[in-house]
Amino acid sequence: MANYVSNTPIRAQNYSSRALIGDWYSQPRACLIQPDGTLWVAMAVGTAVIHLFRSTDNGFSWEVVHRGACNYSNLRTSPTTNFDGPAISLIIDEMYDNLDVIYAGWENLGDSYLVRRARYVLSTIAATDTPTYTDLVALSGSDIFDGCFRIDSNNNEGYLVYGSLTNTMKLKLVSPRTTSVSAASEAGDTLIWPMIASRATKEGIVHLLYQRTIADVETVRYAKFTESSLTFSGAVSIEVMDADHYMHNPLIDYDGYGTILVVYDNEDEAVSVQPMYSYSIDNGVNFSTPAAIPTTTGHTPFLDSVATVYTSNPDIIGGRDGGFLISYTRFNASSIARTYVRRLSTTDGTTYTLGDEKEIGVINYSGQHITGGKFFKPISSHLLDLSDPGLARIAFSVGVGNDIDGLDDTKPVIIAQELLSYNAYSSILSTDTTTYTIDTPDANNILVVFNNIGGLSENVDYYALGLTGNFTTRYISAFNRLGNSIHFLKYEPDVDNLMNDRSAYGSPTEYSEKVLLDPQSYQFPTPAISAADFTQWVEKDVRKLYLPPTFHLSRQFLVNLAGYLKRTVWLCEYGGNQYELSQVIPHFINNQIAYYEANAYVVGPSNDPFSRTILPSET
Amino acid sequence: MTFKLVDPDYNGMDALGGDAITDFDFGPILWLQEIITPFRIGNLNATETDFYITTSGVNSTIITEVDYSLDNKATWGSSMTVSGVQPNSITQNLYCRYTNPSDAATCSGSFLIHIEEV
Repeated sequence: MANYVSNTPIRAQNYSSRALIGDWYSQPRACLIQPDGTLWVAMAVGTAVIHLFRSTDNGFSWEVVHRGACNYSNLRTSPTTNFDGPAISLIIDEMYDNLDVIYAGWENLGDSYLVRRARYVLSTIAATDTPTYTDLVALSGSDIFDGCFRIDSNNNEGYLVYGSLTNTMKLKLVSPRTTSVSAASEAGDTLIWPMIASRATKEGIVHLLYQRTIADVETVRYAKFTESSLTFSGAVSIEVMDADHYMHNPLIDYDGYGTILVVYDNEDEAVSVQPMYSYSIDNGVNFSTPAAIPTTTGHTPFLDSVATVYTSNPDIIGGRDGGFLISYTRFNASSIARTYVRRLSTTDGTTYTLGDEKEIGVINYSGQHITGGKFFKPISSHLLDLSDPGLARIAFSVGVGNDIDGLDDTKPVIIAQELLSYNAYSSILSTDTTTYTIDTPDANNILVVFNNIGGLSENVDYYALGLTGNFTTRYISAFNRLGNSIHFLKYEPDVDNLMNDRSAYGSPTEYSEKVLLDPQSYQFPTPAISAADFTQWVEKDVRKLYLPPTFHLSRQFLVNLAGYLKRTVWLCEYGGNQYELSQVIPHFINNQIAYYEANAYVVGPSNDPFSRTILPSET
Repeated sequence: MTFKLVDPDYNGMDALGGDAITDFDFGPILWLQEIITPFRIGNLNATETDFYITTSGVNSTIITEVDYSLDNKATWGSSMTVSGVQPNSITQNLYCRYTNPSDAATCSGSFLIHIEEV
C-alpha cells in the first residue's frame, strides 16, 4: 500500500481525557466536515475553555483557530453522576456565515444549568475574536436536568432538545440567522429521563431517541418532531429494559433511503454494557428488534476505570447512498481498550446487513488504550457518501486519564484522527483476499506458475521480489563499471519519542554503494520564505542521484508520541557535504526494475531533514 | 504421452529430438501485466493428429484470464485447435497469453495448459 499519511493527531498532549469522548450526554456533533473539506473539532480543555481546531489539508496539520473562554467555571454536565464531561455541539452554517459552539455548564455544584451559544463569523474567525454569547436555556439545578441537551440543525433551522423539571422533553428552535430562540414546544410523551439523541432532516423533521421511565422501568422510545406544526408525534417503544438496565449514549441518524438507525448502550448497571442497534425502514412507524453488536471471542465490555462505569462510547454516521457506520469500544483479548467500526450496509434500503468488525488506530497506536471515537460528520443535514467506507474519518481518544472531570494532571491523552482507509477499510487495489492453490499437473497438462506481487504503487524492494530480467542485469553491470562508491546513512524514527529534531531518530545504519551523482548542481539562490523583502537568500544545492536496482531506499512513516509525522531519513556524503535523499522514484523497463532516481538536497541551516515538515508525497 | 511441448528455440525438425518443456515459470508479475509465452507441440504419435488446447486448474478466477492464439495477432480465444500435425513433426509457434487481473491476490498462483488429442 502506498503511503497516504495524513493522520497527525488533533492534539498529542491533552490533559482532558473527556475532551473528545465526554460522557453519556456530551458531544453529539463536535467533529464536522465542511463541504470544501475543511475539518473542524470543538473540544473542551479543562472546564472553562473550548478550543476550536481546524485542518484545511485533510488532517495533515491542525491549528487551534480559537481558544474560547466560555464564561463558565464548570463546563460540564451532571454533578450527580460520576462520569462527567463537557457537553459541546458545533454547528456550521455557511449560508449565514455562522460558526456556533453550544455547550452546557452548571454553577454552584449544580444549583443551576445553562446552555449557551458562542457565535463566531465563520469566514473570518481568528484567535483574537470575541464571540457573541447567547444563553439558550437556563434551568434550576433541582430540575435533574443533568446538563443533558442535544443541538442539531438542518439547512434552515437549529433545534435544541433538552429534558426539564417535569421530566418532559422540550425542544426549541434556534434560528441560525439571529441570536433569538424563536419557538418552543413540548413532547407529548412525558416522564422522560433526560437522555436524548436527535437528528434533523432537511424537511424539518427531528428524529428523537430517548428513555422513558415509568415505575422504575426504562423504555427506549422514538418520537419525531415536526417543525411546521411544532408538534411531537409517533412515539413508539423500541426496547423495554430489564430491571437495573439503563439506556446510555443514545444516538440516532438516517441514511439516503430515509432509514432511521438508533444505537445505544444497554447497561446492566455496574455489571456490563452492550451496544444495541435497531432500525426503521418506514419512517419510524416500526423498528427492528434491537440486536446486540456481536462480541468477538475474547473481547469484553469496556470499563472506564476512572469513573468505574461500563460504556462502549459508540457513534454512528449515515450514508448518502444508504447504510451506516457504527463505532464502539471494547476491551480486546489482551484487555486493551480498542475502538472498532462496522458497516450496516444495504443495497435497497430494505435489508440491512451488519459487516465485519474493523479496528481503528492500529498503525499508529497499537497496544495503547483507545477509549472511543467520533466520526467527522458533514454539516447540517448533509450526508456523506459511504459507498467506500474508507472515506469516512474518525477522531479518537488514545490513553486513559486519571480524573472523572477530565482535569487530568498526570496522564495526558492523545486526540488522534484517521481516515478509515488507513487500516479498517484499506484502499489496496486487491479485492480478492483468497490465496491460490498451486495446481498438480498430470500427463496432459503443463503447469504454469507465477507470483503476483501487486502493483507499482507499492513501496517495496522490487529487486528482492524478483521483478528483474536482462535489463536489470545490464543496469547493475553499468553501475558497477561507472559508479562511484558513496557512503549512505539511514536514520529510522523512534515511535516513542517526544521530539521533532535529530533526537527523534536513533543511530544511523551505514551503507556503501556504487551510484552516480549528477555533478551539475548549482541553482540560483531563492528568496527566503520568511524574509520580509528580497535581502535574504537561500542557496540551493540539489543534485540528481541514480541508484542501482539492488539498492532500495526502504522507508517508513509514523506519528511519534508528540504527534509529529516522521519518516525515515536517508543521507549520503559527497564532496564534503551531506545530502538528504528525497523523492525516490523507481524506473522500470519492460516491468523490470532498472534503477532508482532520487533528489539529493544539501543538508545545512536551510534544510534540516530531521525537523522540517514533510509532505506525504516526499518519498 | 503422445505429445510433448517443444522449446521454440529448438532448431531441429523432429519432435523426438526437440528440447521438451515440462513447465513454465512466469516469475513475479504485476497487476494487469500481460505475459505471452510461445511454445510448440511435437506429435509423438505414429499418425497425423489434431490437438485441442485449453486451460484447467483449481483457481477459477485465474483460468478465465488465459487465452491462446495461433499467430500472436488478433485472434485469441480460451481454446484453440491445431489440426493436421504430422508424426514426429513440430507445430509452428503457438502462443499462451495470461493477463493478471487487477484484483488478483498478491501471492503465488498457477494454471494448467491442458492438451488433448481430438
